Amino acid sequence: MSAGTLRSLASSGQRALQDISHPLSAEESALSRSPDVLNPSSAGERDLILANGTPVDTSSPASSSSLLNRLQLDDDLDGETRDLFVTVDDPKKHVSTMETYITYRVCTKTTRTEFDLPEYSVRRRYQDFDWLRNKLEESQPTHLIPPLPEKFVVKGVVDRFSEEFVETRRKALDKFLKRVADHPVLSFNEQFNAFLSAKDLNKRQGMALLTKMGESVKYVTGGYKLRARPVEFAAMGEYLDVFTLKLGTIDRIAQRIIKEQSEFLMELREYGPVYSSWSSFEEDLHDPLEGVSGCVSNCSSALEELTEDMSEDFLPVLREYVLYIESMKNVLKKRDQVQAEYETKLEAVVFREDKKTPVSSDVEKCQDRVECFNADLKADWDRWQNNKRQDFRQLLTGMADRNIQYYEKCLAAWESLIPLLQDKQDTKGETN
Amino acid sequence: MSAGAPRSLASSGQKSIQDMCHPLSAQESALSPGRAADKDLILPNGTPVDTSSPASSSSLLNRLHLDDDLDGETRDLFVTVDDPKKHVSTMETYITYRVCTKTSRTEFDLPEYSVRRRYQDFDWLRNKLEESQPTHLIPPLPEKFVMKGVVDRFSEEFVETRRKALDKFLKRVADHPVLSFNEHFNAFLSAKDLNKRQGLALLTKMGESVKFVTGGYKPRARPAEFAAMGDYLDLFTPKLGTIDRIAQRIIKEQSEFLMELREYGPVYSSWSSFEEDLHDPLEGVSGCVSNCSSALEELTEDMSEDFLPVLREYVLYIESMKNVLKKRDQVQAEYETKLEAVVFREDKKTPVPTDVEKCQDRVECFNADLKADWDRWENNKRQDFRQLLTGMADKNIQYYEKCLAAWESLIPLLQDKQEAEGETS
Repeated sequence: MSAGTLRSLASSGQRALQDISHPLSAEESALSRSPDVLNPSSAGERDLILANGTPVDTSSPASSSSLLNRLQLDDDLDGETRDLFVTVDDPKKHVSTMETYITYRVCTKTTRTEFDLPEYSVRRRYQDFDWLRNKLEESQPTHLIPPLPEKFVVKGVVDRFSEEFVETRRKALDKFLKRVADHPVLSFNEQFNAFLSAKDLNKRQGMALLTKMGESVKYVTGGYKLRARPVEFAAMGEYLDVFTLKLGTIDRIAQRIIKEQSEFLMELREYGPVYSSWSSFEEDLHDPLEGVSGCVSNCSSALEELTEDMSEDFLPVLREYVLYIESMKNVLKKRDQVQAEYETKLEAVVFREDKKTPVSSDVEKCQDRVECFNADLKADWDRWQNNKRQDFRQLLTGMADRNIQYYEKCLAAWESLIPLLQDKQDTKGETN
Repeated sequence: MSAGAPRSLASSGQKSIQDMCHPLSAQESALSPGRAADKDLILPNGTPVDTSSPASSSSLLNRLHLDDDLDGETRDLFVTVDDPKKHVSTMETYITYRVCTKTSRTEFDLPEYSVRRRYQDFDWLRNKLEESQPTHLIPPLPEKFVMKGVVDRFSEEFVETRRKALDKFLKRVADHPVLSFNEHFNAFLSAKDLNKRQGLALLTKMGESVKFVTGGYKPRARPAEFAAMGDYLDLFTPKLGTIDRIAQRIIKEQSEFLMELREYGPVYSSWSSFEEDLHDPLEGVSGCVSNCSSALEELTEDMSEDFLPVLREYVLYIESMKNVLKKRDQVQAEYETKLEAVVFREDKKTPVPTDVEKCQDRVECFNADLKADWDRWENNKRQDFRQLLTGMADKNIQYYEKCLAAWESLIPLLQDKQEAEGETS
């Protein structure tokens, strides 16, 4: 399917897919809110489903409407047209006889008509986020789903209920929902809607693991052998491979640095008081020695802040991107499988050319699938690159700011010592 | 012996004791060493004194003069230690240092000298000084023995640290109003080849303590002022020891941290090579980490090479001072014991006052010398530690300034593009 013959649609900003009239339909009317907006029965085959969940008429050649729709939706969201705001906050501990766990408040503000109310406030626990992510992966397999923070933490090593851990998790969950909310396709997903609005989540579809299996079965009927990855996707894969290594190395070294800074901090906490205790039996040297003690103490506090920041703000972002990269790699692999299936079936058709009934619609469906997937993936890749750029700029800026604050504090501490040493040298007037 | 009635002598600046005339002598002439009738009482500066008269006030006066702090203007002896060189022979390899002297003192034949000395020679000198000036505090030498295989005796850092300590040692001796006139010190500075005649240093030390403490006298109570000195030294020593220990651990950790930074910086650089928009900021981080590493390396070296050696020198100094205090205690104990014996023997016909008087003089001399040396030591300690703390502050300020500048230089790299991007998230 070439992108050569696109008819331009009047652009009217961001609208829900359902609100955009089908080019082949004469009416401009708000489609009803039901996900099965078009006549469900018109979806001949359930095999081909547009990324946004709308079935498409597969009788015609690659439907340009779907392309056009996709193009509009792939535009970056302008701040002015954003109509869905989500935040995660207010962690609370729940203690029951069975278990203890944390819930977070999820607040939504929206003007979208897919939602019954303009505002929602619900409480969700990590399991619920995990359920949502699995649902999204299952129903939007051609899209990159943002990562969740690690599910399992080694008990005894990490305190699951400590303020730092809970806060780090909350920030990651908040980022996750915001990324979904900003996604022009994922944000319209019905399970996302339920997650944000339902008082009690009805997590009907059994274990997430089963559905994932189901999904992969749905897509890869038999293991197809992939030919070469198209150049642009190969480049993506190579970039991800190099990027993963770098992030991993930085994470490892940063952890060692944090550990050493903590040990150094322990030494400083012993070091400062010695000068103070020494000053107690000195006269002339009393003030300078007290000064050194105070100075070391100030530097300790500053270092403690810096180390905490590295632990709580820096490392989590690195790890989140490691998970993000894994997701992206998986999506690339799924894309490869879809392409492999298409190419195999295409070959089979070519091979069968001399037979009477070509199974062109099957091949055509595969071709559509490949094209859709590639388009979705490219759009998500661009979006991901943007996010990555912004996230890392923010990360590096934060890193620079924190370090600057740290060095400024320490500098001030040591500079305050100089007057204590100079005063008396002037009054002494001794030359040696 | 009370210090009540010193007669003022015309002050003509710093002169050697031999040049000052004995107040009881009409002639102004150098005393000859042969006049000393009793060899038992010898002034700390080596000149025998006439013990037939009551406590000689001249010695007191001389001592008062000599105890004045040296004014920069009247300094007439300058000594430096520099230019370490390695000597390789079939028997051994060792380092020598050049010792340069400039002086206007008449005790020296020439106004300038330049000789080469090795550590052994300094050690010999120190032992000679301790032996011949037992009532004085002799400055410390850097540690004699270093563990081979742990410390490289010929590394630049080690040799330089040693040179600085030897230089400080000689300067302290040269600044001392009594020690600087010692004949062994003169020989050390001027003789082409040191004739270290008096055998093993260890023997002479033994000899010296025998000379002073004939029989082990039971120490009585220390006078309050000396007790206060001892108490102070007992408090001071553990503090220095603790600071030394922690400082060593800090140095070790900073070195490990440095190794991490040297791995950390290059990762950002290598990452930047496959980024476009993030390229410059990532390169910036790499350069920044590199600059901070260099700055940290400098700071750590300074702690090792300038800070720790001073702490250790004062630990040795304190040991010397404690030993001098103990010797003083012994001299006092001897005096008090003999005094008691005399009192006990009062009913006998022949009191032995001269022996007791000699002891009394010895105690008074020792106490005066020690007090003067204590004051001098306190001054040195104040100045040395002010210098130390000032250096510590300066080096740290430089370090933090460099790191601050490094991180600040990163901000423009991040801001330019954010403005150009114009994206809002």
